[in-house]
This record gives sequence, C-alpha cells and structure tokens, in this order.
Amino acid sequence: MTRDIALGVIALVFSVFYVTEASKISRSALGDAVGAGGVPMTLGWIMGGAAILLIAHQLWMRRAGPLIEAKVTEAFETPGRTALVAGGVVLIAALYIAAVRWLGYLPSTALLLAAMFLYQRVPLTWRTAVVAIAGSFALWLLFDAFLGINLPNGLLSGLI
Amino acid sequence: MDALLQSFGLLTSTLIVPMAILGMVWGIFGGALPGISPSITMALLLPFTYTLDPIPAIVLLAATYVGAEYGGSVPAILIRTPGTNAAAATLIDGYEMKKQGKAGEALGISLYASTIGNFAGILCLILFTAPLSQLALQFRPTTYFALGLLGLSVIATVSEGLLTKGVLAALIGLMIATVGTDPVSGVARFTYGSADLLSGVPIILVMVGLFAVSEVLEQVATKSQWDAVKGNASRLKFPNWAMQKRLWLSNLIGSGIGIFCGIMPGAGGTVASFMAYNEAKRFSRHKEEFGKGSPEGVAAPEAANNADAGVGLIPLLSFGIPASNSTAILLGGFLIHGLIPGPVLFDRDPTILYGLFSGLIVASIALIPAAYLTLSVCVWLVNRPKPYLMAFILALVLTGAFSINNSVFDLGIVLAAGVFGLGMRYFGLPMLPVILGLVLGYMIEANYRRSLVISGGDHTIFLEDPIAVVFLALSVVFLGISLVQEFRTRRTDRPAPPAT
Repeated sequence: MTRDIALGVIALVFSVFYVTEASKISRSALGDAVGAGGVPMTLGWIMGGAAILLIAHQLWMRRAGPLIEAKVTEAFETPGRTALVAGGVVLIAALYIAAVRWLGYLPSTALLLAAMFLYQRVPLTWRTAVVAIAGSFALWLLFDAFLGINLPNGLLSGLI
Repeated sequence: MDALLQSFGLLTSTLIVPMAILGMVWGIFGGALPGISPSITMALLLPFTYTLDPIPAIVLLAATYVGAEYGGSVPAILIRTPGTNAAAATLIDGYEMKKQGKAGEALGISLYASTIGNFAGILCLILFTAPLSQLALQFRPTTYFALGLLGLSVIATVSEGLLTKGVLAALIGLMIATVGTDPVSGVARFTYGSADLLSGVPIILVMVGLFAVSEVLEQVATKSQWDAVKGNASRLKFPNWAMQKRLWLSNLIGSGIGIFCGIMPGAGGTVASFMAYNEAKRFSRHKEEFGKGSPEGVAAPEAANNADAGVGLIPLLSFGIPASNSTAILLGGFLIHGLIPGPVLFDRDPTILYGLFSGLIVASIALIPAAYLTLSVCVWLVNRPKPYLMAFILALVLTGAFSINNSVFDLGIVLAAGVFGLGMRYFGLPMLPVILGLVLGYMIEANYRRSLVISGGDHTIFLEDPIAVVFLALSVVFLGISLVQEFRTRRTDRPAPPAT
C-alpha cells in the first residue's frame, strides 16, 4: 500500500511537470482548434486526477484498517538491493554504449559479456573468457556477416 | 477463399516456410527458458526482421509466438517452473506425471494438445478476421477515435492490479506518444532540441527495453537459480490412439475456452489455461486423477493457451488493436515494414495477411517435428547457468537495437526503457496499457483532431456516429464496472479480525 501511495505521489509530481511543459508548446498558425498542446494538457490533467484518486483511495483504505500487502516477486522483496544490483547492470550497459563506437563491436561486446559474468559472480577462468570472446564473435557473425548490418569496427577498423 | 489459396503459392516463392520453422524453433527455445515470456522471445527477434521482406518477417514473429506457447510447457513439466505464465496450469499435472516417470508422455500430450489448440485458433482466425475487417472499413475518424479509447479502457481495466494503475500505465504510453512532431500542425513537442526525437520515440525500442531489458535487470537481481533437469528426460512420447481418444473432450474444452478467452481482450492464455483445467476436471471421467498426474490436466490447459494465441491475433488484424503483449510486439513487426494492420491493410494488400495465415499453418505442422528435434536442446538450455543466459540476452538486445538505425542514441532509449520497466514492475504497473497507449496514441489524437476539423470544433460530431457512440458507451461501462469492482474487492481484501 505504501508502494501505491509512492506511485501516486510520483505520478502527481510528474503530471505537474508534464502540464507545465505542455503549456509551453507553441501554437501553429496552421493549427486546429485543439492545438498541438491540447491533447498533452488533457493527458497531464487526467494523470494528475488519477494520481490523486490513487493516493486518496489508499489513504481511505488505510484509515479503515490494515490491508494484506500484495505479493511481490523475489527480486522486489528487497527493493534496495534490487535497485543496486540493477544499477550495476545499467552501468555496465552504459559503459558498453559509450565504448562501442570507438572500441569496436567485437572487443566491447566481449568485455560486456565478461563483465556481466563477473558481475553475476561467475569466476573468471579461461573457459568464461573463451565463452565471452566466442559469444561476441558469434553475435558479430550473425549480425554483420550474415544479416549485413554494419557494426562499428572501432580500433579494429584496419583489420576487419 | 481464392486469395487464401493463392497465398499458398507464396510458400514456394518466398521465405515463409523457413521463417515459420525458424520462428517455431526460436519460440520453443524462448518459451522453454523460465522467465523469458513469448513477448520477450519475440522482442529479441524484432531487429532481425528489418532485413526481411514483410511477409516472412511477420511470419517469423507469429511462428515464434506459437512456438513459445508450447515451449512454456517443457520446463513446467520437467522442473516444475513454467516457461510462460500460461503454462502454470500445465505444471500441476505435468510435473506429477514427471515424478511418476512419465515425463515423455506428459511432453507428448502437451505437444498433441498444443497442435490441436493451434489449429482451432488458426481456423477461427481465418474465418473471422476478414468479416470483422470488412465491418471496420465503415469506420470514420470519429469511430477510430472511439475505438482507440475503447481498446485502451478495456486493456486498462482488465490488466493485473488496480484500475487506477492500469489507467496510469495507459496515460504513460499516450504521453510517450506525444513526443515528436504533432500529427496535425507539425509543431515539435517534448523534443528539447533533439533531432533524434522529432520523429517520436521509436515504439520498437521501447518494447524491447520494457520487456527484455527490464527482465534481465530483474533476473540478475533475483538470487535463486533455476532447477536443473535431472535424469534422461529428452524422450518425447506422442500419445497413442487410446490416449488420443481419452483426451478428445479435454482438447475440445481447452480449445473452446482458449477461443473464448482469445476474443476477450486482456484475458490471455493464463486465464484460459486455468479455466480449461477447471472445466476439464469438471467434465472428466477421471476427476480423482487431477492434481496427481492426469493426462487431461496437461491437455486442456495446453489446448487452451495455444488456441488463445491464434484467436488473439484477430483484434490486431481486424482493427489494428493488439490484445496482448505478444500481439503488441507483432504489431511492432508490422510497423517496422511501414504496415499498419487493420481493415485498410486487409483491403489493399490481403496477400500479407493470407501469407501470415499460411505461415501459421506451416508453423503448426512444423511444431511436431520441431518439438521432437529441439527437446534435448531445450533441456540443455534450461540447464545453462542463469548468468550466462542473462549476459547473452543483454548483448543480443543491445546489438539488435543498435542494428535498427546504427545509432548509439537508440541504445540509450532501450536502456532507459528497461530501467523504466523495472520501476513499473516494482510498482505493479501493467506493461500492456503502456504499449497500447504508445501504439494507439497517434491514432487517437489524429482522429480526434481530424473529427474536430471536419465539424469546425463541434464535439457533438462524436454523437452523430452510431458506432462511435456504442464504443464510447462501452468504454464508460467498462471503466465504471471496474471502478465499482475495485472498491468492492479491496474491501474484502482485509485480513480477518483477530479472534477475541
């Protein structure tokens, strides 16, 4: 229930931001009666209303007595830990995104796979290293050589 | 009928047959992996479809959908972990059969019932799609606006969790759809000076991020590992004639319920398979075997979720409105090739849809040999350590997303959508309304504003269209009923007061 109230508050704050931004949308001389900002403004207001309804409903239910908390999946039994672990994956993926152009697809994907193995506590052995390199090569073969998609060569541009 | 017969000619001249088989096999693998739903399996394939012609691309995705529905039963039977939500009912008796040393029989029954369910679903799809799309040809901008609202309100109300959450999710999708140039005057909205956002947020990337990346993030954070398949389970035994005779009623019940649930938007394969399980038990001559390894208990849910998969395509192909996550991904496959499913597509280029039908028939025929040939690979895949699979899925998703436009910016969108999806999972927000809002946003806004341009800004134009009035009234009824039900249910959710 606390989770639903938090969701309501986030939605309410976002709706205020969205309506503010929607009000800045310029109006075209060729536009219609509704205008480019008309629909976004309406959506923002409806979201605000739905958020208030969600919060009010939850508060009303809380006043009336305790509720059984909804069951969550194993990962969300410890949301703080999940956020941290997921943050690590996002960081690895973000570094990959930043590196893929200049480092090249093959080395950066091999590093992505190796980093993901290590991050999930798979010990780094010659076998996991081979899996990462072979996996990267297999994906390159599939997309670049087979499907004809031009994946970045980066540092290996002289070689491939 | 002639067009359908002509479409069989496509089987020899295009890549339909190989794509149907490939999609079927990929679907079985994806369905067999716990936590990887049919929609994720399809989402992983989306980038590949860019390089294909429209018909093979659509067939590839649709065959994946069909294959995943069967594949979900493999880990349900072997390791008591359903590969898909819809296979949860199969687990009850399938795993009991496995414990009795009848894993091969259970897998064979699942395959047999899945094939029957598939054909029942495809038959309904072929029979009903064309007449319904003919009806949809009468639609005007006012009707399309009302239809979009109806689709959104139905999905928001039948989605898991609170109605307000379903509505919030639909609004999020609609809001994402407003990014880019506005459909009437061409004014840029919420682009913040980014040229990449002028054409809007690509739906495909959002789908891949929401479904696949968020799943990887959640799975990596989940401590428990999947169970391994022990012993020799890789022998599939197709039911003999006596068993087939015993299963006819449960297959009929399962297929019937699957068809019914497929027509009802949002009901989905999970509801269908549990309903079928209950009804098969009610009408069975061997009620006492249910829960203890009943063959009917495996057949009925499998027939149901496979029939549901075929029929679930009807709203998408007739009206352009996806009724499930998987059909939303299939819609993405159409959009990639500049095709908008619905009555106009059926009218102008029926070959694409008839090609899809014939591809689905091929896929259903291919299911039996594919299931035999892939079982040992499925068992091998299920036995792989989860960290390896998650790492490869992430690499596959990012490579696929990059390959769409050769753009690093797109990877950022996929990653952001994945993080957003994880947040949605935490708050219990359903995914489908977001996708539907995103897909229908343009249709709703463009037709709303076009209607008002026609009427000179007069909103009563929506009341002059009888079909639109019916759709709008149904939207209000759906929302009203759900709101009342929500308050009633939540009142009864309380724990019983302590005894005094």
